[in-house]
Amino acid sequence: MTQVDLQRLTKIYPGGENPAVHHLSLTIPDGRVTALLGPSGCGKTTALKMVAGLIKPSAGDILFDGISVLGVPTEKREAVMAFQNHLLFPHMSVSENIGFGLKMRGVDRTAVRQRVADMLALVRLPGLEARRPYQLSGGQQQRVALARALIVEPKVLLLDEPLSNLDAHLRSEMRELILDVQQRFNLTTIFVTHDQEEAVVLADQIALLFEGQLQQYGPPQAFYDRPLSERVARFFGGVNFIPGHKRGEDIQTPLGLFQCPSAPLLDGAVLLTIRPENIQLDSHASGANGAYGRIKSSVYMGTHARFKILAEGNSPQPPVAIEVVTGAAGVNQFAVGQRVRLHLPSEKIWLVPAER
Amino acid sequence: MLFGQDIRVAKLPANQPKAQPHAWGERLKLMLMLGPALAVILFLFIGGLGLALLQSLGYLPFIGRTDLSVEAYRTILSREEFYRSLLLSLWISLASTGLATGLAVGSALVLRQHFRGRRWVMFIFQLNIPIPHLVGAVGILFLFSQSGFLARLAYLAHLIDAPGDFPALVFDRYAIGIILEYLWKSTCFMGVIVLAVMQSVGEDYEQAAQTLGANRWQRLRYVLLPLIMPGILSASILVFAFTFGAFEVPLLLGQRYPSALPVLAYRYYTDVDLNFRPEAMAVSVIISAFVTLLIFVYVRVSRGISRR
Ligand SMILES: Nc1ncnc2c1ncn2[C@@H]1O[C@H](COP(=O)(O)OP(=O)(O)O)[C@@H](O)[C@H]1O
Ligand SMILES: [Mg+2]
Repeated sequence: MTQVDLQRLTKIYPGGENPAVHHLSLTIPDGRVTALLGPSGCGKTTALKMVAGLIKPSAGDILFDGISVLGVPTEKREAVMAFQNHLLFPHMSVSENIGFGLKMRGVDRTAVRQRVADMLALVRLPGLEARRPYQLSGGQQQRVALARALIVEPKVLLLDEPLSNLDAHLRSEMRELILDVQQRFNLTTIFVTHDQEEAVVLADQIALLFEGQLQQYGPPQAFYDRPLSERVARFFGGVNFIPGHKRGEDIQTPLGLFQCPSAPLLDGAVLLTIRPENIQLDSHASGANGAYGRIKSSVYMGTHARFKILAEGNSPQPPVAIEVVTGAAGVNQFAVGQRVRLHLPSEKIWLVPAER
Repeated sequence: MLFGQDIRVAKLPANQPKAQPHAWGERLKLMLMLGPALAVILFLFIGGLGLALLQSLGYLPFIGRTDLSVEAYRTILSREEFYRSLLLSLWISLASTGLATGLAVGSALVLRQHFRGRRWVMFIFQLNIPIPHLVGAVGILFLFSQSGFLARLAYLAHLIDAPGDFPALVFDRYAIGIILEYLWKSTCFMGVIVLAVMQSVGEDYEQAAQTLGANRWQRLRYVLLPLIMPGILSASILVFAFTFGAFEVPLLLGQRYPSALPVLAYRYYTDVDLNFRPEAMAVSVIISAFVTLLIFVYVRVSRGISRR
């Protein structure tokens, strides 16, 4: 069980204009799964390799259980990294690959053989000892890579995009395996992904990075319910942003007045946001926190239906495009062209700073 | 499979679908593209070797000998000179190939890193490759002979009493001068190749090994060297074959007796007595057969390794 602290961790590559990672500060709890999430090129791999010791930070510190590991070389750091393209050694058999870490530590052969067999059973590939990596499927290769990392009982498990080379059903299988193994060993796990859904399903905590900078750090739900900025909300599928002016709990918008008791922002210009699945559609008028709109399009998606609506208030301002998600039955209830009433429950409304 | 950059792609699963349609069209295209090169190689190789074989069997119509016999082979194989030459040639080739391989791998390990002046060192490595061996041999003479530059320098520095006391590194028993000359060229040649192979393998495997606890030496021993081994072997086979078969450097820098095998062949060939011609050709044929056998064994062994 190891807690990992990153303190103002920074990496500037030689010749790079902007830092690949900039002042990244995170406390990564022990025994949990933490995701480093962000679009490609935002510095996730760089951050992970710094934790592993493969890249030397330009500034900042990395602590394992409160002790700086910057002076500890990679091979002694006990932070094992499994890579996106699995990187199984092509010249070794499956069992040689898995046993590699123990062999490097001088563990004797028979003990290694036993542990390798245990590990293969754990990742549900019993009996494949003699295979060569090229004789395995992508999913099997990824599982062997996981076994190879787990066998040395690392303090920290680092996974760089472990699922992104797998197709959909292998992905969910691998996801379950990672969770299963992680819970069994109670391993501090940091994994990197560009896929917000993957992060949400796998991680206890998510650290979202844009351009090397931490945007938000917290449990997955916070990114849906309480995003800190429009960008964060959009990365997590937020689509509804209504400009407004906040005074106390009242938000004045082109669609009228809305109540929002929970927003922590200062009074002034804000963006009102609400997730499409939290807006209620009605065919008849009712209550406060509402607006009228006309349905421009609808898409039936099997388990739900998605509507694009042009909403307007009483003021002579241009209409605002709003997206609403209803249950699958909504597609029979509401037709394109129909005029509807939108209800935005005040506890579901969230405010983010108006950018610019 | 030469140079081994494609070791990973070469190991496709056995159940890959084979391209059946257009097989004939493909083959024709291949033949058309390879044709000219193949024609030249076949003409020179088969033609040259065939002629050498014929002459080694005593077929010399220009002096009126047309009956074939293995007399020339019997003659040279019964001479002690031949075996001494063979040993010397083996020693020269093995020593220079082995040392060059070690030096090339070492240099490539340094050159794959980033440091100031790396481009200059690379440039010097590549610069050496097109310089003819003849020039190298003259350089070795100038530097290392007992009347050479280093001998005089040692004399002036009072390290030795007379330039003649300088250790014999040229025309010497152990063929040091020849090996030095081959070492110089082969190290540059192999260094460039091994570096290219290393760069195609990349550093990812070593990084994975490092996080698993492998130290610098273990990463070299268990990860990098096995991954680049096919490339190293291919390059060293080339170097061995060349040093075993080339005559100009041992001719210039070697002792008169015993002389390297190719020098022996050259001496027989240039003898005024045309009756030595079959023996010259027999030595050449033996050299070719030896190198061919070596390459054949290498191909079999490396195929066995990659199939295992
Ligand atoms: N070795 C390197 N030298 C210079 N720049 C690099 C190097 N590695 C990555 N970068 C740059 O640093 C940024 C972050 O890269 P990376 O950490 O790989 O991002 P991610 O893993 O999130 O896709 C990118 O802009 C990338 O181009
Ligand atoms: Mg990456």
